[in-house]
Amino acid sequence: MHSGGLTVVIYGSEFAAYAASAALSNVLPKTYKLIHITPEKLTLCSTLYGGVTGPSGYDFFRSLGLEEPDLLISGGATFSYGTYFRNWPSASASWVQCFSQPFQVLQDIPLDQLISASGGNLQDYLIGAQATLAGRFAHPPPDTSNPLSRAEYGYHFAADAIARLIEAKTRNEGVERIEGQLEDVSVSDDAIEALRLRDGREIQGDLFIDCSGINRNLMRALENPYQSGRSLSVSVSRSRSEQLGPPCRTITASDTGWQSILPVQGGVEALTIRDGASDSERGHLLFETGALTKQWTNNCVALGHAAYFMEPLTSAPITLLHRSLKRLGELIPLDRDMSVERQEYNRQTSEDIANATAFNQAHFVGAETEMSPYWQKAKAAPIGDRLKRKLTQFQSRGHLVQYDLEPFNPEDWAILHYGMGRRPTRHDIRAKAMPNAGRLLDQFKSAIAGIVPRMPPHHQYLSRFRAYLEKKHYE
Amino acid sequence: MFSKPIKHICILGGGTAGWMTAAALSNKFKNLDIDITLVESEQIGTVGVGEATLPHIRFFNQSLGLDEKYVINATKATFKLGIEFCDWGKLGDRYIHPFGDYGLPNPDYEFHQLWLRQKMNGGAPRLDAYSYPIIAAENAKFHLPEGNSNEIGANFGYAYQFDSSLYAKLLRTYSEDNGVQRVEGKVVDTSMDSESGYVTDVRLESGATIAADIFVDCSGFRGLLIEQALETGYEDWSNWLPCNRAFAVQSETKGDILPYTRATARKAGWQWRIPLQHRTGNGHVYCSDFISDEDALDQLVSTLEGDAITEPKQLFFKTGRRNAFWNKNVVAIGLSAGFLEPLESTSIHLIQEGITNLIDLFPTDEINHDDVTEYNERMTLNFDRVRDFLLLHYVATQRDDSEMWQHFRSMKLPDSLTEKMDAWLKRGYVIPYEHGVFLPPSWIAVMLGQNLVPSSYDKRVDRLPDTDLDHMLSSIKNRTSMKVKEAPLHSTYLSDYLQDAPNSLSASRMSN
Repeated sequence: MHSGGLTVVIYGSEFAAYAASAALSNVLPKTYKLIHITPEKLTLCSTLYGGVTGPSGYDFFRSLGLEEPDLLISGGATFSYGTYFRNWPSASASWVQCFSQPFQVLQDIPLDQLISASGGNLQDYLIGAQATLAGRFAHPPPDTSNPLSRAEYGYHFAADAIARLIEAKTRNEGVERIEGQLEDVSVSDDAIEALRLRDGREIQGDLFIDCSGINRNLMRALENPYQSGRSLSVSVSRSRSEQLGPPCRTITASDTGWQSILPVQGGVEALTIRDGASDSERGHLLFETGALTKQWTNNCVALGHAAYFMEPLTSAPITLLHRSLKRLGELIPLDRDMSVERQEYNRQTSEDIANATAFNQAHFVGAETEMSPYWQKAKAAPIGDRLKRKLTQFQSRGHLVQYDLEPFNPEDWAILHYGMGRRPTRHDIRAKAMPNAGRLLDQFKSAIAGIVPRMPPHHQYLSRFRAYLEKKHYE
Repeated sequence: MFSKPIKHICILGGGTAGWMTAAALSNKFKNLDIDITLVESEQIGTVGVGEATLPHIRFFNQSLGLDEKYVINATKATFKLGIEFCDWGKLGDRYIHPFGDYGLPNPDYEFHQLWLRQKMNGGAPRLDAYSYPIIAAENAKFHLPEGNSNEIGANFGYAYQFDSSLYAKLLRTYSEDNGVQRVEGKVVDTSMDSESGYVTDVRLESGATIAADIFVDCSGFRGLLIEQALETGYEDWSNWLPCNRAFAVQSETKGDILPYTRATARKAGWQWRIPLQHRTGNGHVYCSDFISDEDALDQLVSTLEGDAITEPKQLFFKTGRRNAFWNKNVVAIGLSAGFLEPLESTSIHLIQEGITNLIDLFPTDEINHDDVTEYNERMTLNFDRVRDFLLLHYVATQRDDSEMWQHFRSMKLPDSLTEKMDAWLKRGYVIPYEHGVFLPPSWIAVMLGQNLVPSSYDKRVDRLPDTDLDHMLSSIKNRTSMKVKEAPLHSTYLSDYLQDAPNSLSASRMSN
């Protein structure tokens, strides 16, 4: 023990490990000791977070001690309105999965109900989607009469760059970093006592955090089983580009899977996902989707890809990491008896995983893409009750069922349903009877159409904003 | 099968539930070709499910376009800042469950955690000292929250204590103005479609029949349609909440008109005291296994503070809820949907939830199975979560001075409740949920108020330097008591506030 507090030991070198060290160093009381053991790096793991955050990205990075200027000046991040899905759910279909504030309520009726009753397409009424299609970006103004004030944005970022930023920043901030490779985990009564490193050092602790990615070194020692779903083959490439792309990630479906193009400063990161069993190209790595049965077992918590691997189609990998770190902060053990904390952490985390999995899965229900092994397997995954209720209620009359404290809000779900081509078959009787609904909806659309062309292109906005920040920074 | 749009709604029963439903539906559907009939019988009378409300009632009234002053005047209402619970944790204890969070919002720390730290490291005044609505209630003070809701003196909610039969009367006028047809009469028979099992019409004593496409059953405990006709079934919760009878009586008010309701734990139940403008409502909710009717009545009458002005009225019930709230073409709202003792003023709130969800899921043409399923899912969750919260009051206690309290001590609790109490006791953590009426501050109020004191706290708050913590806490406490000192007495405020109240519903609606 460390003068009344506990010792927390993080093991791993992927993005989650650095994020955990930063987040915990910002909340742990001074009596606690935080050690971060950094083994040799695993390739790819960090890229597989998808590189995109939702609007909660702002809070996420702040919880790591990074403000927006840090991200833009030193982290290479760019702005994101969401993800542009191409050839999805069928060839030539596309939509923008943009982030959105709660839909407005017009004369007592939610906007999405009015749109569905009018037979319109939701995307036409979302400024984030329209600005994305035009490749334009600007910060939302505080004036709520401006339609742009309703846009929500997140960030695109290269996880490795952010990990390096955190490493530099937390060097003197209460995190003890030890370079070393794990040799052995000493376990006694099913709890971890210490980590023995190859150079003979032994690191003792009270709480261990497994951030070793898909190696799951600590969880393996505790024999905590991983429930795997599909096997995916992943490849990543980076290329430089002269001009920054649109304020969105682009995901394009292909016969064999999909490819994502992520615009970061100076270039793009491309990620290709295919079926793991049938793809045997060199340089591709295999990942199993799925999750540990328990995210926290005994005195060990798994974070990031050690805890679960979610196909990075959405902002879920980052959103869930953020929520897990916040939860861990709230439930940091007070002593060696961690049963209450563990139980609640596992309850909330498994809810998050189930909700995010349902959101991911909803991208495949009804997809008409070519029947290769990738698509066959993705579509064959059984649909749980949670998703079934959401799909049924939406298709029935546009109801957006929400469970407690979901990582994705009703707007995310509505946009996804529309993108996937789902439409309610029935409509609220009040929406149908609203006399001026057509005119109100037209006004909405034209207000957005009036603003978007006046917004600057993403690259222009970012470079000017960055220049402004740098100037301010060095003044 | 029914394959026609809903043209006619029949609401059965004219108590609080019936007229709230009529008012809301006639308002929301005013542009639609839908007729609403409400059948009620003056012979039957109403239970008057509750005279104490939750802050949500204000939004209900606002959505109807009702002027607040008019409602207060017409229902002889007083303002309510919370509920005082006496003798619950142990004999002699008291605490107030306020409408509002403790302290001030802080981006980095939860207020109650800061307070726990101070309390454990050297002591702190009671948490109540940091709650404006509690201190105001204790001093019989009130004013409406004004200005920035993140400031002391504005960061609270409020509800009303009103005469629910006057409220029903007000809503009747409102509904009839909106075209709701009221039919006087007692239902003697119900006809059902032999194929679908849907209720087709109800026959009155007079021989008249009323047909409708959808029926809202607001007929009270007996559930004339939902149970007597459709035999929906009831999930009995007596094993958790055994109280099954009550006596209610009105009395004269002694002393100041207080801006809060009181619930005092008794040997075989509990007793309410609700101050209105012109009288005080009292009642004793009890379990007949643990006390005789005579003793229960005596308990009530002997502890009245003012003289009784009505004959005591006895009520019978069984805690629980209907297996389905919406079955075929019948939606049960009010006591026909379920009964939970009014310990936390949830009766009217559950009516409101029933109405809101019905409007949200109202048939688009014929009745659709998906809407029915969704309605039942939502209302089930609402009822279940209120049940756990009520149960907390009975089990978070050191009392063992009667058979009833001993019964609770040996009870096996729902897992969700045990987990909630364990997490609180270990570190002051409140397990959160999103859908349900009682938010973390309510759980904190009751758990702390009933002596569930956490053995530790969230150590993240240790990062705040001692002097900052001292300063923050004492400043909030001082501003709270200062703001309360400046506030007027509730009774003074109330009469000033009502000076320019509209004197008729039409005047009140014109002023909107």
